[in-house]
Amino acid sequence: MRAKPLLLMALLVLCGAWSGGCDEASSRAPAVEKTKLRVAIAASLQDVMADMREVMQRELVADIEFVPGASSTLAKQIEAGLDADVFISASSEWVDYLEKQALTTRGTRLNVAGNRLVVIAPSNSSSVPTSLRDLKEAAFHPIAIGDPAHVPAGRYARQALEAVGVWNDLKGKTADAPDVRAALAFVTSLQCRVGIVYQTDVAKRLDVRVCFPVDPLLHKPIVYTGVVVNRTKDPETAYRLVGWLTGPRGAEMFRSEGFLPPQ
Amino acid sequence: MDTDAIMSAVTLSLLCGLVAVALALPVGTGLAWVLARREFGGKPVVEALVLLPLVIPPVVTGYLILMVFMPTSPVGRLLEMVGMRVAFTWLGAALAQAVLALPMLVLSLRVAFESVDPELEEAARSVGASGLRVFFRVTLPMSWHGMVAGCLLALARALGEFGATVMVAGNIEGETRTLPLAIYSAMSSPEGGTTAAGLVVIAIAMACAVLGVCRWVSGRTGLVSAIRPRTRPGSHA
Repeated sequence: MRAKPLLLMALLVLCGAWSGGCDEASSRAPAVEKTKLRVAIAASLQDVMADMREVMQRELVADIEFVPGASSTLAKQIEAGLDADVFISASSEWVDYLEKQALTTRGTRLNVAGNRLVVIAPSNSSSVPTSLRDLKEAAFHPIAIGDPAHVPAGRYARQALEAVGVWNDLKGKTADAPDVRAALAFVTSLQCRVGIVYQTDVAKRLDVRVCFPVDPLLHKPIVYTGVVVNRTKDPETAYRLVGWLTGPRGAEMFRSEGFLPPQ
Repeated sequence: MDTDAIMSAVTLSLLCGLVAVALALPVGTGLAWVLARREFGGKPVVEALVLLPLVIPPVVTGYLILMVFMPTSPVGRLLEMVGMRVAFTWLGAALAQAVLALPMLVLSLRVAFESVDPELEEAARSVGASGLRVFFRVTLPMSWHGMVAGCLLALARALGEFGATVMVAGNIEGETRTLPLAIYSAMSSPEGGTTAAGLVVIAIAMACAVLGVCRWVSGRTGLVSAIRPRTRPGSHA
């Protein structure tokens, strides 16, 4: 065979081997057999959980990997086969959803934290809304929220807007994001002048400002619910993780990053 | 700029893309050869089915693949019994990309095979060579330019696949977050702007590299001529 095709094939094989090797390296077992836990977490939890990770891994003696996303998307993915050991949702309804499909382990469901919705705008905005009713004004459209059809942050926002009677005026005037962080990104990138996200999403940010908090009585209570997915290979460690989040260390870390205690 | 995320996305894209081409190649070669050399009753139907992933929205193809391979489906259950999972794994991503790249592969391979003078294959058969031997000794050496060009096109398509990948494999960092998915994720996060820009530059560079290799393989005669080489004088066009 001539040199060119041989060289080309060698190149392709090398590429494949190299990238395959990279995959191998990351999954090589460590000297001590530690449990690997994959935790599906609501998008708004990714920063606080990343901060907790080291301590959790040490105290639970496990390797922990987080898969963040909208609680709704994660629940559907778990239903479709995603290999998660623990699921921490921003609303109880998505845990209920998995419970109905018999995908959760009985007795492992715990409320781990709470949160508050806030209305935000870019820091350098000249005019900002001062109440939910102000959101009717066209100047603030489109309003960035999580997709109200399924994302918990979007659902809570919709409930609040319905409660003050402006939801019907906002049909087609909302930028529905796949998760609450994407809604935040709409505002930070200045594509939207106003957004409704969790107070914890913007706590340390300088590029957005909180216009006002949303009255928690206007929507269902925001309760982060953790549960063990029954597909897990180590239900004991998985449950210890959920329990850890409600323990003193976990509760302290949630509090320090602006989350509310669970109800 | 999140260099870890970028490295992960590039590595994953290469792995899934190459595996996707490897998966599509045997199927694509068989289909292309049958379509190039054989006439049969259901031929228009087969041609349409092969082209289908090219014309229907990739997200739809992804949905169908997911329905077939979900752990609760018959196929999914069978695979679970041997410990294999397709949905939400890099293998699922590669599979989705293989299905999406298949039409392109079949189209180019078919043209490449059709450009080989069938009389040469006939001659080989007349001296007793079996079908496979004819393919590997006559058809393949004469059409390998087109085959490699077809594979490279399929690779480029696989590298760029988004809709079907996200449906079948989700968007799991380090496992299924290929280049296009990483760009989308970076854009969906408040501080991902520079990461997204970096990924875009790499994506364009990779596409150019694939085209470059294509040109090198075809000896600077260009992609189209690589697939359909000039016919020799005196042979049937």
